Amino acid sequence: MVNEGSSIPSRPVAGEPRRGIIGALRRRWEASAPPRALLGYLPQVDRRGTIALAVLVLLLGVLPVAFAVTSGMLIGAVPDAVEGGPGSAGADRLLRLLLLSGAAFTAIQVLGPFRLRAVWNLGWSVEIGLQQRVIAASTGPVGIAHLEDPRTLDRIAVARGIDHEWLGPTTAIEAMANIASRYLVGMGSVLVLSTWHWWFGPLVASMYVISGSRLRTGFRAVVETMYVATPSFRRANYYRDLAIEPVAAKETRIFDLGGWLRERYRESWLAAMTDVWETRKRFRAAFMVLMTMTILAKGGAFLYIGLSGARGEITLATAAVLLRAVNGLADGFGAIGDDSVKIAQGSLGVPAALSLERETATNLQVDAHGIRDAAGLPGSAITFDGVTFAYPGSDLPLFDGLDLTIEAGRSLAVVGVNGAGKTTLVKLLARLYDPQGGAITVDGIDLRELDARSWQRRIAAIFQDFVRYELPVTDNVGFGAIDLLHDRDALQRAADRAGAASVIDGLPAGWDTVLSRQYEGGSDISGGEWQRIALARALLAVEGGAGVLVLDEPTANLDVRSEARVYDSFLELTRGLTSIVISHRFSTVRRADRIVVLEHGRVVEDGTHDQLVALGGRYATMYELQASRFADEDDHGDEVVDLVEVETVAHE
Amino acid sequence: MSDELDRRVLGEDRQRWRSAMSILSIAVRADPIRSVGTLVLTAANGLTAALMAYSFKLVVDAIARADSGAILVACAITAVAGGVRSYSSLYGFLLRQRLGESTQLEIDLRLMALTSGIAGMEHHERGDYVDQLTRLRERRSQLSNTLNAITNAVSVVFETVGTIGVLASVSPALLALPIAGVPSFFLEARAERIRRESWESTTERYRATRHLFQLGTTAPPGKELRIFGLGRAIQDRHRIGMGETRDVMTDANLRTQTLAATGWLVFSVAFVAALWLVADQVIAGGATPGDLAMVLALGGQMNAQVAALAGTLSWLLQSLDIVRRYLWLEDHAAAAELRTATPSAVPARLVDGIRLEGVSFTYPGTERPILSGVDLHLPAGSTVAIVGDNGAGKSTLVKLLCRFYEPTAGRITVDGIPLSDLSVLEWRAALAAGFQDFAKPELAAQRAVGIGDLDHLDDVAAVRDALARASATDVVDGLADGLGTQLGKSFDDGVELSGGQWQKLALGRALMRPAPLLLLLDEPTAAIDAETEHALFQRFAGAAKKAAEETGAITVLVSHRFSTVRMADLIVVVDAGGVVECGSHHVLMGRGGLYAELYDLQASGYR
Repeated sequence: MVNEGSSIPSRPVAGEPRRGIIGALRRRWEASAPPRALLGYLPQVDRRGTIALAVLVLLLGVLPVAFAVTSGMLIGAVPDAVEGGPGSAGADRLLRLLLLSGAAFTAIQVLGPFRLRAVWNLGWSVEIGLQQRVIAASTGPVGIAHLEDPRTLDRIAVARGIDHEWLGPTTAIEAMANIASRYLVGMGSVLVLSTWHWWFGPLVASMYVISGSRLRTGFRAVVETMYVATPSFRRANYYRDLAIEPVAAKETRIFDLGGWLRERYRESWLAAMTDVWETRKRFRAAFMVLMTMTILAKGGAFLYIGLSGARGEITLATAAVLLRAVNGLADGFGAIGDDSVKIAQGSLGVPAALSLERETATNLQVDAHGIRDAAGLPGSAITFDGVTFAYPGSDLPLFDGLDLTIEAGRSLAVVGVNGAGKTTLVKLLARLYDPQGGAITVDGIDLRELDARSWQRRIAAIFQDFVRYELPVTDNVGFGAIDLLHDRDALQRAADRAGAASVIDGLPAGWDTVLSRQYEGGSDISGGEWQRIALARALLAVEGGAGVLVLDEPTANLDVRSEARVYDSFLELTRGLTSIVISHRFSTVRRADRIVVLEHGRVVEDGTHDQLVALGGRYATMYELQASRFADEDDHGDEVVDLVEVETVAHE
Repeated sequence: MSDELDRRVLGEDRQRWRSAMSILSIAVRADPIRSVGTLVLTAANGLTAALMAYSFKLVVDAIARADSGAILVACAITAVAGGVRSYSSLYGFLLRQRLGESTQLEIDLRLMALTSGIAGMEHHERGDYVDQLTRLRERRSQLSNTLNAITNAVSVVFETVGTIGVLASVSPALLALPIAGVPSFFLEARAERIRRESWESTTERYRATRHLFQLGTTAPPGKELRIFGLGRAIQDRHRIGMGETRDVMTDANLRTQTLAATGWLVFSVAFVAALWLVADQVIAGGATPGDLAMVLALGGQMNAQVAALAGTLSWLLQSLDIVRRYLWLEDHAAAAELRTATPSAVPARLVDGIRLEGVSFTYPGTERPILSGVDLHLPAGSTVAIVGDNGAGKSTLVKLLCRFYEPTAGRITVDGIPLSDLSVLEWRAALAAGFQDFAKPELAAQRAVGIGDLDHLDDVAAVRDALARASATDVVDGLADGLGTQLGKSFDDGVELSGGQWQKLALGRALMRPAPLLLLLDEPTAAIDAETEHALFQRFAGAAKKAAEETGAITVLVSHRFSTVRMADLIVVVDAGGVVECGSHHVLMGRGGLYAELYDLQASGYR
C-alpha cells in the first residue's frame, strides 16, 4: 500500500522495474539525481558560501544535542544542590550547568537566522549561475537548430524550471539544510542513548526511521498536489483561466460560455481531485498506525528510562539526559514536513541546466569554424548554388537544388505560397541553418569560411514574428545595433525612417518608456506600432553597418496609410543595400528590382515585375488575381479558390 | 503599477474586517463540518504544546521521587499528550488542506462567474481595472490561504494561553518570560516590513530579468538575437539585473536576520534569567526538578510562537489585501450589471435594421471620445463594411453593437427597439462574431469550433458545415485525429496550430450559430491571405442575401483590404470618431473623398 521508493505515485516512470528491493533502490537513486546534481554544484559556484552553510548546518546539528545533554545534566544536578543548599558545591555546579545550557540555547536561537541567511546567499549564487548557464547554452550556438528540435526544446523547458518563483533551487537548498541539521540531531541523540545501552539508541531510532520514512512517503503524496499540477489538473485550470483571463473575453460573452466553462471546471476539478482524495484516504489509516507506533516507542522509551531511574539503576541526571535525547531523536527523525517535496521539485531542472550546454553543442547544425571577417560583404553577389536543405528530423527536402543569385546593392522580392520556403531561405542566408548540399557563397567565398557571427552582423532583418522586448523603447530600437544604443541621433533617424517617431512621441516617457504595462510608467502599444518599432530596429542595424536588409512581411499589422508610407519609402529604405523582401502583397513586391517565385523548393520564375507579368506564368496569375479586385469593372469573384493557401505549422 | 484605484481598493481599514469575514463565510458555506473540525483541532493542537511540557515535568518528578506508579502514569500522560499533538497536527493539516481546496473551488467558481459574467468589458480593458484583475488572478491561490493564516493565528493564541498557564503554575514571576518575547514580535514585524519593501522595490527589476531569461532561453527570439548579435547583451543584462536584485535582497536579509537574531538574543537572556529564578527556587526547596525541566522544555517554544505571530499577522494582512481586490470585483460586478426591468423581446427578423442615433462613446476612465455623434443606418438584409485607419473607432463601433459597452450618449435601436431595452443575453444569442484578437481554445478541435453554438457543441455535422463555410476544413483534415485532436501546447497530447489555422477555426466558430440576426466580423482574417478573405466574404455575401429574405440578417465586416471591402452593399468610412462617408463602392468612388483616397492608395500598387 505504502509504496516506499516510488518517488511520485501519480507518475510512474515507464519501463523501469517496479518490484523488488534492488528496483526500489535503483529508482530511489535515480530520483535523487537532481538533488545530487544540485549538491555537487554548490561548491562549484560558491565555495565559501557552501562551507559557511555546511558549518552552520553542522553547528545546528550538534548544538541541540549539546543543549539536550547539558540541560539533562542540569535537571540531574538538582538533588545535590537542594541537599547542599544555596552556596554549596552542588548549587555551584547547578548554576554552571545552567549557564552552559543557556549558552547552548542562545547559540542555537541566534544561529538559526544566520543559517537561513547562508541558504539565501548560496541560493542566489546558484540561481544566477544556473540561469546564466541556460542562457549561454541557448544563445551560444550560431545556428538555431537546437531551438527548433523538440528534444532539445524539452530539455530547455526542463532547465527553465529553475526560475520557478518559489519552488526553485533556493527552496531545495533550504529544505536540504533543514533535513541535514535534523538528521545530525537525530544521530547525535542516538549516540547519547547508546552510551547507556548500545542497542537502546538504534532500537528507538529504528522505530522512528521506519515509520518516519513511510509517513513522509505518504505525506509527500498528500502535499504533492499543492506543488505540482497533474495533467488532469492542468485541464481543469485551463477551463478556469479561459473564463478569468481576458484572452477569450469577447467570445465568452458572444457565445455565452461562462456557465459552460464553470461546469467544465467543476467537473474536471472534481475528477482530478477524486484521485487525490483517494490517495490521501489510503494514507490516512496508515498515518494513524505509524504515528501510534512512534508514540508508543517514545512512551516505552520514557517508561524504560523512568523505571530504571526509579529503581536507582541510573541517576536522575542520566535519566534526564536520556529523556532529552529521546525528545531530540523524535525531533530529528520523526518530523514530517514538505521538505522532501521541496527538494525533489526545487532541484528538478538542475541536471538539465548543468548539461544543457553540452546537449545544445551536440545539436550544432551550423559549422562555426570559419574565421574570415565578413566586413564589406557582399560586394557583388550572394549565390545559392544547388542548395539542398531539409529541416533536421524531416525527410522532406524543402530545397532540392536551389539556384539563386542575389545581386549586391539591389532589391529582391521573394514570392510563393506559405510553406514554399521563403523564410527558410533567409534562415540559410543568415546561417541560422547550413544547407546539407550545395553551397551558398558571397562574392565567391563559401559562407562557411566566414566567421559566422561577423556575417550575421552584416544582416539586418525584421521577421514576421519579431520580438517584443518588454524594455524601454531605446533598447527596442537600439538592439538593432548595440554599439549605437546610446547614440540618440542614430536611434531617432531609424525611428523617423520607419515611421515610428510619432509612436514614440506619443508615449508618456518618450524613448524611456518601457513597452509593457507591467512596469511603472510603462505602456502597451498596438500591433501596428510594434511593427514600426521593429522596423526601426532593423533600420538601425543598417545604420550600424549591416549591408543586407531582410523584410519578412514587414507590414502585416499596418493600416492602409501606414503600409503605403512604408512602401512609398521602400526604394529609399533599400537604396544601395542588398535587400530581400518577402510579402504576400504584390503592391510591395512589384517595386523590387527583381522578383523570384519560389515553388517546390526551386525558383520557378525570375525577373522584373514587367517581365514576369509578360511571361504569363505563376506570378502573373497571382498578381492578376489581386490586381483584378481593384479593377474598375466588377465581378471577378469566381476563380478564386485554387490559390487558397495551406498554412503550415512549422518553419514558416 | 501603483495607482489611484489601487489606493482606493486597499485604502480603507474597516474593509479588512469585511475581508476576513467574507473569506470565513465562504469557507464555512463551502464545507461547514470541516470548518468546525479545523477550529477544534487547531485549538487542541495549540493547548497540547503546554501539556507536553507539563507531562515532561511529571516524568522527571516521578523519577526524582523514585515512584514507579507515578512514572507509569506520567509516561501514559506523555504518550497521550504526544498522541493528541501528533494527530491534531497531522489531521488538522489534512482537514485544513481539504477545507482550503473546497474553499478555493468555491472562490474560483465565483471568480469565473464574476469575470465572465459581467456583461461589459470594462474590467478587461480599462487600464487600472486590468491591473487589479491581474493582481487578483496572479495571487488567486492566496485567497484560500487566508484561511491558513487565520487558523495559524488562532493556534498561536491557544499555545500562548497554555504556556502562560503552565508557567504561572511554577511562579507568577515567570509570567515575565512571555513578555521577553515582545521585542521579538516587533523586531520580526519590522523585519517582515523590510523584507516586503525590499521585495517590492526590486520586483520590477526582477520581472525584467525574468523577461530576459525568457528571451534568452526560448525559441522565437532566437533568430533576432543571432542576427543582431544580442546573445551576449541579454546574458550580461540578466546577470547584472539578477546581481542587483540579489544585492538588494541580501542587504535586506542581513538587516532582517540581524533583527531576528537580536530578538532571539534578548529572549535567550531572559530565558537564562528565568531558569536562574527557577533554579534558585528549586535550591530553596520551593520548586521541583520537574519544574526546571518544564521551563527548559517550554523555552524554545515560547519565542518561536511570538515570532511566528508577527509573521502570521503580516501574512494575514497581505492575504486580506487579495481578498479586498476580490471584494472590489464583486462590487464592480454588482454596479456594472446591465439590468433591464422588463426587457423587450429580440425581434425574430429584422425589417428596418439597426440604427445608431447620435452615438458618442468615451472609454470609462479616459478623456478622449472615441466616437462622437455617430448616426448610421445598417439596413436589414445588407452587408456592411467598415473601413478607416487604426484607432479611428471601427472596433469600438463593433463593441457597442455587441453591447460590451453602452454608448456615453445617443442610442442604438434594433427595428426601433432601443438596444438597452433588450436582455443582453438574448441579444447576444442573436449575434455571431469573429474578432481580430480571436480566442485559441485549447480543446478538442470539435469543441474549439462547437462552442460557437453550445446547443450543437458535439454535433459533428454542424461543426463540419461551419468549417466548410469558413474554408477551414483543410485545417481539421490536416490533423492526426481530425475533429478529435486536442489543440494547443498546454497539453502533452496537444497539437499547436499556426496563427492562420487558429484564425480559420475562429471563423468556423463564428459561423456555428445557424441564423444570427447580426454577424460581426472584426478583421477576422488578418492572418489569412487576401484571396481567401475575398472568397470568404463573397460566400458570406451570398449567404447574407439568402438570409436577408428569411430574417433580414445584417453582416458587418471590418477590414483593411479594399479588394474585399468594395463588394459590400454599404461601406462606412470612419475617421477620428465619426462616420465621414457612407455608401456603395461606386457612390464613394464618385465622391472622391477619403474612401476614394484610401482605395486608390491600395489600388495604386496594382496599376
